[in-house]
Amino acid sequence: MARLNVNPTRMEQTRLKRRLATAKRGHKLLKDKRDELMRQFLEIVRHNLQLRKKVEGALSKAHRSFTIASAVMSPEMLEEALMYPKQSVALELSTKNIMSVNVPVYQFKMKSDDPAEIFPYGFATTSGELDDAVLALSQTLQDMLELAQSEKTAQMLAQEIEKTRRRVNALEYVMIPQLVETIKYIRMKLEENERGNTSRLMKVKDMMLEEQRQKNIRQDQEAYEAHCLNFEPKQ
Amino acid sequence: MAKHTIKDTDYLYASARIKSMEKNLLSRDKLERMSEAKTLEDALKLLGESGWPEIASPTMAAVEEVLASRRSEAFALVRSLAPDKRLPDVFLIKYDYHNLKVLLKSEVTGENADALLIDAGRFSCRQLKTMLAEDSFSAMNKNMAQSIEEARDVLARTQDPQLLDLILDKAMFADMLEMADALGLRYLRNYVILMIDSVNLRLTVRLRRMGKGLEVLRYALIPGGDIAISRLLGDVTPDIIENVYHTSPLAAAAQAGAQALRGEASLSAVDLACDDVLLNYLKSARYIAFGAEPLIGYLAAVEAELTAVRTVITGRLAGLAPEMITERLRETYV
Repeated sequence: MARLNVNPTRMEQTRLKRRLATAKRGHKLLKDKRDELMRQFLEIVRHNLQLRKKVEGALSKAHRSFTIASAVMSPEMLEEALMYPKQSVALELSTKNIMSVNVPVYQFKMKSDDPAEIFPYGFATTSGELDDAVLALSQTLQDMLELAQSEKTAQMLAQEIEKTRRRVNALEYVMIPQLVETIKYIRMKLEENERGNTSRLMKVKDMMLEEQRQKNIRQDQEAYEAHCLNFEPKQ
Repeated sequence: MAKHTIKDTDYLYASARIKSMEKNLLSRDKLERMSEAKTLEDALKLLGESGWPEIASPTMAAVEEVLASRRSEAFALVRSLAPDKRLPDVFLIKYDYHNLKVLLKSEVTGENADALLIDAGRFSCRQLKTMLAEDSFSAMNKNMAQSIEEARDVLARTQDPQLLDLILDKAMFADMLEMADALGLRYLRNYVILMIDSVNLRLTVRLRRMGKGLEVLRYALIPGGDIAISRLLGDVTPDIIENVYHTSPLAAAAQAGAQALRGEASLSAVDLACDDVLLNYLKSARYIAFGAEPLIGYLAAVEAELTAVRTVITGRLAGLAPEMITERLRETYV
């Protein structure tokens, strides 16, 4: 594992140790966030699946009714019947915060509350099957919108999970080992310096002792010589 | 006036000619074979074998093109044969009103909806556009002109496209009745009356199913039928519908309507029953040796045939099972 290119100083080591502590704490938090996101994601996805099945069933029913209606009406008359809608819908968009992800919340409001206000055509030249098709579509609108909301939420959560997962992995497999390695390197470097210092001191001590010894020998020698001079017989 | 001078015998050649054409109409057997054919191409080939022009590609647009040309050919033929040239007009009125609906709605939405116009009515689309743009309705009859003004007014006040359709539908049937009267043809008049009754039955059932109030029903019901409108107003239960139509030729259709209201049958079953009653009425023309009836019957038969072909081809394109297609096929004229 590569280590960081830093000066092996005690100050650097302290700084790195602090960073390691932060990284470990961040890692734990992000891991918790990832797990919670995952839990929520799975919940939404399960709900999504049910909703999608429901919407697809309703849409295929509406489509079948449209097919039957278009079989007995000319395409121009079918389109004419639907060209000017009677009911209109206002869509409100707000957001909700799930684990710091801002997911959309759709709310819609019909212009008219009368559920029978969705048929914008007369009855003489239109097929009854068209009523069923329009009704099926209008009943699906709420579910379709909920599906859109839940699918977008799932998508955004998935992106967030992916991002968090990458961060957790980066912390776990790159950042933390790198810091540990670097701290270890600095520690070893410092210890080595310490050892070098000790041996140097020992050497100096040896040298100093030797010097002292030599000095003592020299002094002894000189003292001896002086003594011998004093006791030389007088001629 | 022309109607006093035209006799049954004036239709001798026309009737004979049309009767010889009748045998070219698609029978139910052929339509069933088309819906059971292995591929769509095979189904189209069967059409070709019955004297239909070749359909360039197996798409709905190509089929619609052929349907439109078949329709205009049949109308042109009847118009050329009929002593009174207004004879096919009863069947063309609906296109005028369709075009009017498109034009009036596009006036409000501001969208160009020319693609939805069907140039098959008594007035060409261009004529109608100019009349609406210039507000000059002198070429139209009173029903049409009045309905346009009323529809514009109602649309401006309520922005409700359904009311516009209801106004124009009423005017359309009034026009048809007037035309039948002008032609002095009892058979045609009775056909229009039966049509009004069937539309009233269908819209009563549909409005009831939608849960609409009495007001809308009163507004929507079309006057001029055999069944008095007042009998359908009020708390219409499935039993009442059956009772009201009990003596009418539409009794079977009313039964289907009652079932649809009870949720035992679909609305398309009601449509189907109504169309079958109308076609069975028209079929009586097949036993009239000469007169206007065979011509009228033929025109209605051609329209029914076009719908049947559209049903089969749409069904095939949508991948419906053959039995689903055949159960939606109407009675055929031949």
